[in-house]
Amino acid sequence: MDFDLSPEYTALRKMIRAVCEEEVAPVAHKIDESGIVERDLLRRLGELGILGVPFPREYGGMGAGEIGYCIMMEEMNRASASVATIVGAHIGIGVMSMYLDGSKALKAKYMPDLCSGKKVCAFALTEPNAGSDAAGIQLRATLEGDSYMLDGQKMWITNGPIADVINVLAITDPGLGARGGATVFAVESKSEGFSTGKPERKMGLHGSPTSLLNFDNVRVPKENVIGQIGLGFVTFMKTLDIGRVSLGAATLGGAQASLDASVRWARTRSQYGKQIAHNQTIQFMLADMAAEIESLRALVYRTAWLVDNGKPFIKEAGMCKLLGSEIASRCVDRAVQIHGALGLSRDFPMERGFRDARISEIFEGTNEIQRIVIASELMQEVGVRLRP
Amino acid sequence: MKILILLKNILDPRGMMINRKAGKVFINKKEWMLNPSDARALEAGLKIKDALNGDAVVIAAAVGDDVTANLLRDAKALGVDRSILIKADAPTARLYMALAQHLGDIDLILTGGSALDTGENIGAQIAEGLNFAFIGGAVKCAIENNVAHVTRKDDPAGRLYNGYECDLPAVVTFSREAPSLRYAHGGDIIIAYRDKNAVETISADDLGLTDLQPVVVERGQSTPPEREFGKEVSVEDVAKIINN
Repeated sequence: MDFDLSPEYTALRKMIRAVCEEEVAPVAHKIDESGIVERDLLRRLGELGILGVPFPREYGGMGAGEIGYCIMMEEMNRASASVATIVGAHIGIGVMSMYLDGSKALKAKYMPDLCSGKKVCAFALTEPNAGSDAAGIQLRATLEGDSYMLDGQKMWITNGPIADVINVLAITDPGLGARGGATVFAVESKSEGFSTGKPERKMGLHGSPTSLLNFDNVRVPKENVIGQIGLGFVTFMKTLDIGRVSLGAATLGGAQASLDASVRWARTRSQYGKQIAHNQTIQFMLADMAAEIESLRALVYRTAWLVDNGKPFIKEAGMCKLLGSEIASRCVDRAVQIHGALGLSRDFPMERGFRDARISEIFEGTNEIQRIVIASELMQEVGVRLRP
Repeated sequence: MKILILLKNILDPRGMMINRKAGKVFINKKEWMLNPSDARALEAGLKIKDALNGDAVVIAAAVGDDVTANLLRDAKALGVDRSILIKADAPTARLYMALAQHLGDIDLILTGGSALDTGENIGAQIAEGLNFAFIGGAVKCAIENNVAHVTRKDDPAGRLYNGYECDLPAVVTFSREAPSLRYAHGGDIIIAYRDKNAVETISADDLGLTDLQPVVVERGQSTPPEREFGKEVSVEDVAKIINN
């Protein structure tokens, strides 16, 4: 039993933290205000391997596994939730779905550029009529000679406006529906007939662009099919299962940032002639935050360890996302309270943190869906298959 | 071209608190870091290798234990060709001099201008001992036709930069104002730490330092005897003494 990160991960965290603190955190406020993450920043992260943490070196990745990826997401979200969301959607669901089931040729074609930051990846599942119920998708793909024609719409796609490669789930066999009749395609954004809607105006994550995607008879060559025809739904669910672990790690970073800022503020701010840290009311809030964050950290890194060691992790991954998002929201709420009026100021990071934290309870499967996932895993252990 | 870079592991001062009244240093967080000016020397060494299109052997060395080995692994991840850990209890300058002779044909030795923790500056000592040329306080160093071209900031206000040249072999030490150290690719960090042979270990015996005698012998500590108070005199008394 060893709960310490091994030396390579400690060294990796040191490097990533330095990059985040020196190159990401200073521009986090500007990113939130302008809503733009410079492509140069992503390219810089790519140079250091940060855009390919869990993937092997042969595809241009870092070869650091899920644990390394969780470390990166924690540190990145500590600095900027917008950048972390772009990076998370890029690696965790975008490139990951290609890496899990894509053919060798497809991976060799796209992954080196994706891992080095030359190209950005997105993952398109949600549609106007399909969200939590992923089986309700309607985007149609029909075979025409050597290629498929994609026709339909996707909605709320993170990285949609900036992505160069988009992994899209489309129906290839309407008779079978999503389960058995859906296939994943890697679509290049420069393809004819593809267009994006204007970026959505959101409460938080202003720097992470989200938009509608239009597919108007977009031609996709057969080689760009990811996995087997008809098994796309399986690929997507597998990807989302892994994605939840790193999302938990990201929320961990957000919660940690709230605690760090609160501890600093409790030391700086004086009322009634003493630092506010001397008030038990503040101490209790800090202690609750620290206890929740530490429990989340244990869960996240154990789950990452399960993933890296090829053990079942679906239940734990759901827990990471569920607990992580709720703990992050609670922590940032307390942090705003500790900061008082400054917590509401748009010139202080707490206000941004508060807006950015809320989405974690919704995207990549709402927390309600996570509870269903956890419960169905629990019941499956005693032989009951829950019906949706 | 063979470049030797000397590194030192120091305690991160950000984890310390100094209580001046009590005259004590409290270590809140014991974390190790690369001495800042040594980091500049490492960057300069890597830059020279880049400028020569990789036609140089860069060797990083440090004196210490297994904690120091991690520092050398970081250097390996950044692209040095060899990392050597010296495990020996002897004056560092002497160990490095022996190492340079052991490796042979060293053209250039780079290190930090001073250690952040003890303030020691071994560069000049090594240059003297090996009979190398020496330039201290560099912010930039380039090699051309066996001549080291060094830029130094000689004016604290930062307006005056002077260029110096010396023939190789030479020792150049770097100021903290030199360009800061690059980041390693994450994948290289993973490889450097998983590779058991990333760091070579060398002992005093290997360096041929068998019969080491300490240069300075510590006999103990004592303070000078306390002096007695003199007489208190007024201005008038002084005037009287002068007038007489």
